[in-house]
Amino acid sequence: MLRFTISRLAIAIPLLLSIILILFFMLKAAPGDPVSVIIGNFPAPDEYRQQIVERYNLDDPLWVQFWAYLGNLITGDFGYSFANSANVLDVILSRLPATLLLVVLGIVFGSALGIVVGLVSGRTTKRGLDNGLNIFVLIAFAIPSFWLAQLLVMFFALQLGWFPTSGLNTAGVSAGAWETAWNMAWHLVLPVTALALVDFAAIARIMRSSTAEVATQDYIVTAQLKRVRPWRITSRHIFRNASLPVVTVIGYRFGQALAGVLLVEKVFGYPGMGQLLEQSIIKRDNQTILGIVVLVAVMVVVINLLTDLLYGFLDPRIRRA
Amino acid sequence: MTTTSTTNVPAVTPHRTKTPRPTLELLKRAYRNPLTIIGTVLLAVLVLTALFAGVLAPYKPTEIAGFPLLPPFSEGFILGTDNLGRDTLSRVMFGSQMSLAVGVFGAGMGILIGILIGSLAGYFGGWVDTLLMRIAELFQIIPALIIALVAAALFGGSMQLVILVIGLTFWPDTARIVRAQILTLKERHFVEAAKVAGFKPRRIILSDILPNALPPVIVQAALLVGWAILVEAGLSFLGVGDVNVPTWGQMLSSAQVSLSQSPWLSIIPGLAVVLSVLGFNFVADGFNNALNPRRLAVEVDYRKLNAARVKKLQAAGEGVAAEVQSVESQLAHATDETAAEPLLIVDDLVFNFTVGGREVQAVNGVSFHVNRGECVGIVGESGSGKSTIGRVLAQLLPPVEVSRFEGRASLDDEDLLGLSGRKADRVRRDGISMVFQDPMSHLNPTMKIGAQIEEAFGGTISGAEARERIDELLERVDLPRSLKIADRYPHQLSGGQRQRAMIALALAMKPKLLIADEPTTALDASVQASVVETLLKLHHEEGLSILLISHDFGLIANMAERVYVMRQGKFVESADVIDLFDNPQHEYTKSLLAAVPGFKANEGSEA
Repeated sequence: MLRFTISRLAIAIPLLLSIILILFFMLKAAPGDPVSVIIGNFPAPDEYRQQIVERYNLDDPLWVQFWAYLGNLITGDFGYSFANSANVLDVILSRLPATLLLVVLGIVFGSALGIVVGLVSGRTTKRGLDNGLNIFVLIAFAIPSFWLAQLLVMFFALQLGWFPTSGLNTAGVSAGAWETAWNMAWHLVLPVTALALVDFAAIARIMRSSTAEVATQDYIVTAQLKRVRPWRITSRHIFRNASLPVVTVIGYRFGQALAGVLLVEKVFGYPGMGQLLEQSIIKRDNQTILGIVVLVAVMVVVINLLTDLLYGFLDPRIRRA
Repeated sequence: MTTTSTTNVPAVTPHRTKTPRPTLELLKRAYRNPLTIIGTVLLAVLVLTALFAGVLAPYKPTEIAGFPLLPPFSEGFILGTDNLGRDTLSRVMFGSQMSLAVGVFGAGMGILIGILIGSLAGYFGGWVDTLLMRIAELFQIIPALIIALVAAALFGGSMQLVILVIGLTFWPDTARIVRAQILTLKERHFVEAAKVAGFKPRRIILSDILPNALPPVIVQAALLVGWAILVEAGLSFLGVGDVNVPTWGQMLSSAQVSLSQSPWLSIIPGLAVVLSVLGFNFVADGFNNALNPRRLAVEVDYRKLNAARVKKLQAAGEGVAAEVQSVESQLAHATDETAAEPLLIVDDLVFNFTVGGREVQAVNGVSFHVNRGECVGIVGESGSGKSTIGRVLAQLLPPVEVSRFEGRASLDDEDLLGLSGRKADRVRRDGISMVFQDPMSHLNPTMKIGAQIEEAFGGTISGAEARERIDELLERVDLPRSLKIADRYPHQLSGGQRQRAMIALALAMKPKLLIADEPTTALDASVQASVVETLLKLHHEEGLSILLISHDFGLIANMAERVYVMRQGKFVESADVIDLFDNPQHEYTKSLLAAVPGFKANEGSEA
């Protein structure tokens, strides 16, 4: 397990460095003068422009510039956002928890449902059920999350009035901790549903083929020999083995969900990173945009590392190696 | 012996003839699926709309043609107007151009890059492969949408840029598929032949490997185009792109402000996106199914099979349980004066099934018996149907379509074939257990040995008592407690230990009869002998009755007291093991014996 952990770390770190390197070269390749590319479309005072040149070593050779860029990032210095009159990192971190809440809930619910549906359609002997679930998953794959979000708002919020249309809390409500949490959960139902759909589809598809594959394994014959009841074969023998590939996909899903959440947040006016990114694009606040991307990259790499380790933990063949 | 002969042997022109039939066959199979047809229709509509939007659309997409926010079915505006009074139908039609262009060119670029990189990685292997696959991982980690957003912020969001970003981020999946295909194709003979014939790698990849690797790539391409359309919609929803070029994402974005007054402004372009992507998904799925037909987990319906079997027996005026009066067992009784007690009696068992439309006559009327405490061998070549006998008796059949199932079998006077459901489970759990050829694949890799054995108790005991029993069982198969086998996973055991654990598992069911199906074939020669010893100890000291199924005459000679020789679903000879070796009657038996290394049949080769 230790060797496995080290080998995964040995992949994760260069991966992260490569991403930063790519971003750096995109910055360098962008048209316009380098200072403006970094700070965006703001009439910054000359002293500040001079500061930027010094801090990013813009007069030095490229590799020195990259070194400075990397050094700044590692020390948590993501620059200053003129649009928000605050440190980029502070701005992002103030938005991050709300976004992560949405992403994590979406993945948890989407995966849970996907695993169940995948297990059922991989195990069923009824062709009709299998085809029906397959079509359902294909349709789920075709629906843009932000459009589903709009439909949910129109139907469940505007038409039926069951859920709020936007935000994370009802303004002006200041009540006990429980009521605040309840209020928040109420706001989260629709965005989480919109976000969970695509995770559901992706996980269901993988779980289905993985279940069908595991069901043909010889050790299932052994379980049948032991006259283990079919539902117990599914829960004890198939589920565990079939869900292993799903674990690795969840890491990849996390990155996709971070992209999807930007779109869903826009529909719900949700106070997360998506809104921040959209405003930053409109205001050409490049420092913030780059900060968000670097942070997303770090999170995706870390989550992938964690799911790899979880995989190693769940699979005794790796854990005991 | 000349060395040149080896290089000359492969026909120098490696398989290049284009046979149209497989492709045609694939198309036929794909279009038998209604999903493929629906998908194709959707795609046809999409493509025609995009091509002829200029002719078909009633208005220009940017033209303010009527009052704002007209509902659908207004006069002159079938799908209504948007918040500026532009015709929704015309905008949806023109929007298809952007979606299709970005989808096809973006995904197309991704596919080409993927094919190139996958070919290189798969063909050259080694460090090239490692490096390229690491790069693929890198490109997969950040979603296309986010990279496109940054690129749009830095370079301005033109359509070409979006296509470029999609192309540069969409290739890893394709590269993986092509690589995997090449790795499997590389070993095929025609590629080997081309290599031996001295063709250059480029030519081998282009003319021999790629055409064969293509079908799954086409499936992937369809999926990617759909996915690229979704990314494009997302990007333009976030405001990337030219405001004067209508896109579906942009329409959804501007619908956002009037969701309460005019839901159709969201529903219509959203449906356009969904139907287009669905078209690609359906076609991809249809072709994927045609390439790798989904096999449903068909279960053999023993109840139904048995009903037919019983009906046939009754029509012949016979009972269900095998009776000892059958000719074969009468014979056995006549020769066996010690009045051995028959445990398993099989009478005229027939079991045929169809695979891929072809009937396999696996078991074609065999009768035999195993006496209590006896070890009986069934020997034959692979494919002779000997393993099927064991599987039929234990009701552990793979999902096959059974075409003929007849005959009778009883274990300890209880009908063995007729039961189904819980009662059958009980009779079998108390009656028959099995040991298989490959212990590694027959043990669950993520479950400890102890837990796997405990399951065989059928829930009768648990906790410390179960643990004690498990340790006893393991000791019985010569796995001492000090090894703590019960706490280990299958991969932590040696091949011999695994097979012993498997035997312990089989013994945990307290079987009256153990069916051992090639129990030593997958083991190293040195380990085989000790596993045989364990089995023999169980047989001699504990009186375990064994039905030994093997192709290995040596093993049979070592263990069995009586032997049945099986060929093409039938027994050709049966005898005491010593008689059989001394005096084989059937030609087939003689030829099998002649093939045993170091063994000389009494007739034939001597003289």
